[in-house]
Amino acid sequence: MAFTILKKHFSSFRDDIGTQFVTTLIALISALAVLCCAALIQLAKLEKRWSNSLQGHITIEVPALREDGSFRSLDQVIVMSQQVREKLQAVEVIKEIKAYTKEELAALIAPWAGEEALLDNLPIPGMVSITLHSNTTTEQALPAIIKVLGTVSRDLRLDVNDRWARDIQRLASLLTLISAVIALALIFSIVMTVAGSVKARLANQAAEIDLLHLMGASDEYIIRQFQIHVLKLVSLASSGGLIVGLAVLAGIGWFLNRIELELLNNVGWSILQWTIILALPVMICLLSWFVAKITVSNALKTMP
Amino acid sequence: MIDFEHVGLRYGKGPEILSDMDFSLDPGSFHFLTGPSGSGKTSLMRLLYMGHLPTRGILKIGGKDVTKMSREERIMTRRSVGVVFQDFRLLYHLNVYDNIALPLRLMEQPEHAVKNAVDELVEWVGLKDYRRSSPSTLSGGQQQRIAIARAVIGKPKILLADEPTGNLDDAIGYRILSLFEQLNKMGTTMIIATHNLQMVDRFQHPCIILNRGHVSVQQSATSYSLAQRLQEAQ
Repeated sequence: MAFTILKKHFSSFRDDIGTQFVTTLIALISALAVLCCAALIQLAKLEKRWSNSLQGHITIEVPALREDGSFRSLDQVIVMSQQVREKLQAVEVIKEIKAYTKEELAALIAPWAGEEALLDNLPIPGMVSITLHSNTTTEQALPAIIKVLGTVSRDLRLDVNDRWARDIQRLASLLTLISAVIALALIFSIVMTVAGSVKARLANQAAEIDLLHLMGASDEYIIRQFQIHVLKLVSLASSGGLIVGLAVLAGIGWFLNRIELELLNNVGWSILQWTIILALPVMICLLSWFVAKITVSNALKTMP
Repeated sequence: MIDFEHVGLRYGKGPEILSDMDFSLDPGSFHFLTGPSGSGKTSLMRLLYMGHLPTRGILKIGGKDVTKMSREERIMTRRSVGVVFQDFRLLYHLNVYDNIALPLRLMEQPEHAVKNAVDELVEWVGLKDYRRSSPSTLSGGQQQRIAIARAVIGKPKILLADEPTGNLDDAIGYRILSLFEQLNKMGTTMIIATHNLQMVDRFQHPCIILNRGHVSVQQSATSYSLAQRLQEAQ
């Protein structure tokens, strides 16, 4: 009903090249907003997952090469790994400890050395993986662990994963920040596009608006006509943008599955995250609705 | 009904177009507004339909100072003023029916009331057979009548018409003026801006004469005295 009135009062609200251009532009921005929002959600999840999987973990390497330059056989490496495991079991802050077996080490190097590699002839280091209790930081646990390791051998090496975790967290935070800045830029673009489009319409229809104003049309009435027009245009454009964005996301998902990138494996979507993505067109429509209101309202204030 | 108290109007920082306008019009009165080209007739009309506000002095419409009205009050006052513009200002993408219906739709009147009012008016202005026509397909005189019907459909208390007979032949012009007289008899205050002194003479209503932005009101006009006054003004 309202749109019928709109069409009846404003000749240039009929679809034209300008409208098509603005529709396409908003659809494009909406598609980018969907991708940006998806990136924000997934980066936050990945940051959390990477942190959880790396924090509170320490790896001890039993080197195949002794300090004096001689090699340890794989059997000797395994025996030393077991010794380390047994000694560390007495440390209270350790929740879980695992010494890698010969078979497990073979499986780890199989992609590079092949299934049939003669492990006894290769300088393969042993590995002991430690998981700390969740209330213990690596810094708190290290002195006790180092003390115990010193009783086994002086050439054991410690790999503290926290340092990795911090770097990865920083990288993820930076990417999240970049995504947030892009999201803000997109919001700004939508505001500017809608405001520009409405201003162009106001200029184009100045005579009609002046006539309606002089006939006693209320400001709310004139504003509503523009809001309805903007809502129609933006809902169409943002829905189209959502479909394009989802299609691109599906493409990215398919590609990641295809290359089997472990780092991004099992990146799923919760109902809340889907809701946020699907609600984007609604949020864009609401934003445009308010932008149209403010723009027309400001223009009408110049009329007595 | 309409009181001008030392009203002046200027556009931006330009010179005063209207100066020291000081006169009153009673409710239900009928006045012609005349004067040479550039004397400020259209500006005076703009003041009356609040297309501009006075830059000095006080203009009261319906007892209220237009500069002190709230925006809402000004909107409601505008609804009580019907205007026939010199250039009609019809919406050419709408048909005759929708053009005439516009003021009632702006007031969000129910569609059946709009239909009844439009049907009555198209008959009154003799455009019954053109309801669904586009104004652009009609003659100047027919477009003028659409503009008149649109101006009166909201039953305004004041009707302003800027050169309403300018595009009409004498016979139709007289008929239109007769329609205005009918409205006036129903209580509408009329102000008709015109160059047509014969028309002024024939209908014998008081005249507001504009002369270089100044005004005088002549109670009984004759074509002779008006012509003389206008000549003096020029």
